[in-house]
Amino acid sequence: MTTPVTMPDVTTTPARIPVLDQATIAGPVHPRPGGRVPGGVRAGLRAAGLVAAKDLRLESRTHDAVGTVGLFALLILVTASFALPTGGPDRAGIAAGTLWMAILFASLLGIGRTQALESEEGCLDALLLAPVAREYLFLGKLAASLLFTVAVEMALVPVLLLLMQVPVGSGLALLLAALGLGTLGLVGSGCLFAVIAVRTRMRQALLPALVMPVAVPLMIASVQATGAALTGATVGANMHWLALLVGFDAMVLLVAVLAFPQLVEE
Amino acid sequence: MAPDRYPAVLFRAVTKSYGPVRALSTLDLCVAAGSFVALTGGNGTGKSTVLRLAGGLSRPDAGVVRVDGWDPRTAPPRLRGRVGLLTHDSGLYPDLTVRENLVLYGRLFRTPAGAVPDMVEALDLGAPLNRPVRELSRGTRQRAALARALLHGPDIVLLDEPYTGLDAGAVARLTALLARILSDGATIIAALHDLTPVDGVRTRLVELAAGRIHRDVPNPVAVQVGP
Repeated sequence: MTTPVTMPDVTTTPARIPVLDQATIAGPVHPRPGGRVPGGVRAGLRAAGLVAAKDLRLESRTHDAVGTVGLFALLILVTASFALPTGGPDRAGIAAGTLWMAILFASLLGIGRTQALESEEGCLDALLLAPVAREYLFLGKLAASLLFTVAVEMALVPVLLLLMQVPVGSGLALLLAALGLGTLGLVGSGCLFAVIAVRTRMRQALLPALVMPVAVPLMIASVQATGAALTGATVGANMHWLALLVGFDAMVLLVAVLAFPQLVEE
Repeated sequence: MAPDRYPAVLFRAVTKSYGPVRALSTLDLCVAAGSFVALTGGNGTGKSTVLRLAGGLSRPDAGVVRVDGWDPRTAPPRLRGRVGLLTHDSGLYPDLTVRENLVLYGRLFRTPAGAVPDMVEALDLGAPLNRPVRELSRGTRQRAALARALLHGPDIVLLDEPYTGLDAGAVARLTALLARILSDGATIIAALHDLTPVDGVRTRLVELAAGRIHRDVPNPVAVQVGP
């Protein structure tokens, strides 16, 4: 059965669709209030999970964010263990500084690479059209980058303990807390600034340049807490460093979630 | 389908610049729901900018952009699910297969289960379905990108040079698909250099020059819809 369909036209046949004539162009714009979709949180978290799963699948193909970056971070550790005086009384502090230097460069390199994948074929634009609040897309990217960085850390920490000959003992809980909170803040700020850096020509150099000044308080607290953990100190004795990390993380995540939808627009 | 109260897409006095380059200059454009606007003009006349603004990927420097009455930048997310946008880039992950890309976007857009097979058939993507996008030819990649943009059955379709790289068979398939989408009540705005493939389908021709409408020509046609 063939059905003829006459297509409406705007400018020459205003009588057919009066609301669309030139008076409409000159008249009110029919503003509609924005708003959230009911059940949007569940849909948003589902979308964040899809984005994170997609990044994990891509990593399984490219081995960029964990494989290549992890190897780079291990090289930093090994080089530092030979270059720095690790036999003295301050070896815990040196070990902590070396570890966080490796984590910093590894996480920023990994985040830069995963973000570059989004811009390579305009994939971020395609993601932004998904019917979910855009901050959930950021959360998906954040979750994947966190997993990649934690995977690298799981390789780094045993090597560090072995090379630097530092025992953890009773400081294990503090070490895990420092690593967890420090990594969250570092990756959160990295993912946020990567959105800015990826639109520029100097993206590889710009990301560390943007993140490092902001991450100074985080790095100080992370290194101090980790150094204390490597001397066997407990969580209770270092609450001030952990509190600083919690505050930094909360601020970064809040700013990131609020700013991401604005930053991704041209 | 967009309610009749609102134009599908409305630009009022929209200006947009990229650094020193002015892409749009106080552009007024009103597109009725259910129409097919072929947007044409030379390079750099603002065609792609119109589509990106309507897709909510870009913000105007001045003026008002509305899609079905909403500001596309601040509209509820469900509006974005009604928009399908093909830009110059494919939006496909090169290291994923065509199938993996379509399944990903299908889930993100909450498409029905049969949407991927339907689009694969409509755009003849059966053969390259399990190949990584990185290995595809320009034309096949374009077909996959079109499938990605149209997968969720959008009723406002924004296409930037959709026929780029397509062979004759694919051109015919795409035109048939666009005619079908149009007959289902969708609105289509397509930036085109060659209007030939859509001559029998488009309802209006808008030619841009220097970021403004240079020519606005209706093309009322009776499209034959059916087998």
